[in-house]
Amino acid sequence: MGLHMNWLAVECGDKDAVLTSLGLQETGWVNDELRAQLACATLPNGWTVIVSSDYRLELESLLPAASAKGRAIGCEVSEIVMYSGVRAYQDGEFAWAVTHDPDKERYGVAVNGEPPSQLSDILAKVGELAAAEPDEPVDWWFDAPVELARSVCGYEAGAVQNAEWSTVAFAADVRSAPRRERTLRGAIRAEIMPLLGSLGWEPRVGKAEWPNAFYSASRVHDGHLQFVNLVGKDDGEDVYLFPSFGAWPGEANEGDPLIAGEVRAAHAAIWKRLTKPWRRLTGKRGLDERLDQVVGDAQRAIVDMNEFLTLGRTSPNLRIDLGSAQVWIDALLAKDDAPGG
Amino acid sequence: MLAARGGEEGFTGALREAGAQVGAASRGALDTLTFGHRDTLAAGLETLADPSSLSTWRTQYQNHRRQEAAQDQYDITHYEPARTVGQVAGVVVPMILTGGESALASAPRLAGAAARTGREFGAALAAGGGVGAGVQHVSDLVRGRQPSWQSDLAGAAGGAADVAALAARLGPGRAGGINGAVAATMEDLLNGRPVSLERVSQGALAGQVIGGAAGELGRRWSNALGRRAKGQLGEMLGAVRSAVNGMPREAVPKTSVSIKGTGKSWRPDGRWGGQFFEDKFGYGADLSRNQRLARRIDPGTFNLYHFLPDDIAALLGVPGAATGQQAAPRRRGQ
Repeated sequence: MGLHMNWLAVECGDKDAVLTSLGLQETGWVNDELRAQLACATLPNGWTVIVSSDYRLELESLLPAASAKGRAIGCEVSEIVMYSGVRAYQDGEFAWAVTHDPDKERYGVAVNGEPPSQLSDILAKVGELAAAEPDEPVDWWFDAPVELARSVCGYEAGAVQNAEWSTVAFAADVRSAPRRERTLRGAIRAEIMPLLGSLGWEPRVGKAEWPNAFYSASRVHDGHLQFVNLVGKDDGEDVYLFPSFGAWPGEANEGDPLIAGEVRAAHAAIWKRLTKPWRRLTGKRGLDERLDQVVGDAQRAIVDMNEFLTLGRTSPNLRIDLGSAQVWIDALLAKDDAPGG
Repeated sequence: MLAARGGEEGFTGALREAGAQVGAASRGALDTLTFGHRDTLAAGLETLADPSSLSTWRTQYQNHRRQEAAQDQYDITHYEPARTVGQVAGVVVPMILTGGESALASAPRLAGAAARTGREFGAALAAGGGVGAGVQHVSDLVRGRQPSWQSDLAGAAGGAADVAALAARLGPGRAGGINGAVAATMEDLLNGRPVSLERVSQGALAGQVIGGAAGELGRRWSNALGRRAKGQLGEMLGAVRSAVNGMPREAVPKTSVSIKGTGKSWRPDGRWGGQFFEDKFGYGADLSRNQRLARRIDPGTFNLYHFLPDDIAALLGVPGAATGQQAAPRRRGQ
């Protein structure tokens, strides 16, 4: 979404210890942290990040506690009001803060304490950009606290590659649920990845070259590098999975994809959508039943997507975000017309 | 000599007459400003100003009040045009001077923010009319009066007029005044009564004061909201606006969208088919760098909805004015 979120990061690679110290516990999996209310991952650089995509972390109380495990920073980002701020704690004590609040200071940031030295470079760069285009209605300073946070802990919302995100919740909010024999992650490995392999894709786990893809697959077909990115979530309450896809003009991941999009499951009948909360409440439709449907829909979507990428055949549930179906069909026809095509 | 004396008397008489006219106009204005309680207020002040009357203050007060009521009646009988001018001035002058406008500095919307569409104006008119009719209906029930279609329609006309005035950027105070005036006028007309300027003036003033106050409260409240709540408010208003424009946002997880030819992406607040929506709330909200880029690359699909606390003021001003108009007293047989 237009980012409206907050997050905290602790310089500690022990995710379980960090979660326990903050009264949180894992509830499931999500491939994109911005699709969960609360998500957590440990980054390759050893920082553990907890993200709230809807701004629900109480940083004032959590940061001092988190900083007992190591240096801790908290960041707030709202692209709706264009506020951004980062603050740091060490050993339970406030260390520094940098905030941009356009309602108070439209052109600049407020600094408290002694932030890291890279802030001066960041502000200099922002100042140059603003001076170069003074008439643009752009909030250049909005990026400064976010960029500073990224320079400290390596996290940037929605841009982390190959992180394994868990959905988390405060222990007090977690309802006891029976242990599940089958999860979405298990189904992806057992039922989705083999399907992708049978269609000529090279399935990957945790090695994709684009953000927010933990389960993915790629291949070169007709001279185009193509990818599939599985977008899903299973936190014990909500389950979904759908593949997004794309293709580059050539055989390498260079520049912009020629085309990118998603295949969505057909909408449920209106009466089913209207009665969904009731059926959930009364247990008429259990998690396993929903999981079966989600996996079945995803398998059909992969077949549809494969037909589009190989034959240019569109389906009603295909949605193109970048380029158009015609762009891709033209690219396929051009390959066919080429000598030896 | 006689002629001169006659001229002098004529001049003095004219002066006296002019003074009486001004006095009647002033009393008319004060009567409107005090919602018809000028006599009570004046009697109270006169009683307080006489220290010898402490032991008999109740009697003194009642005497003063009778005198003031008689004065009003005299003005109505002998100086009705002047009194009417005063009553109108009692509404119009404060509207011109204040209009219930905020002391908060107001900033324009972002350049390129979507302008109000005809559908939005139509929906707002209907909503304003509904609010006006609803408030009138509930007010009748609360006062123990039989609700009637005439009263409901008068309330609806007031609410719709309020919205139209808001669209003309008159502000919640002035628009509330128009609401009160239109509702009072329509109620008289629909009930087959002659239009009472006194009641129209009082309705206008009450609508202006309460509508303006409600609007100002809404403006300050929304401007003082926390960042999280402001964001939620902005997204909620944005979702309503897209729906009114026939583009209901898809109930799907929000994803990032690539910006063609740049290697960058942005996350819209909502989407409908190939249309993307970005919501902003607040006086200081600009675009981010990538949002600017997305709009520049594909302006036809980028819909920017920028809301201000002034919009919340307008939203709350309409029911405020409708309620205020109901609170205006119905005196002297109205």
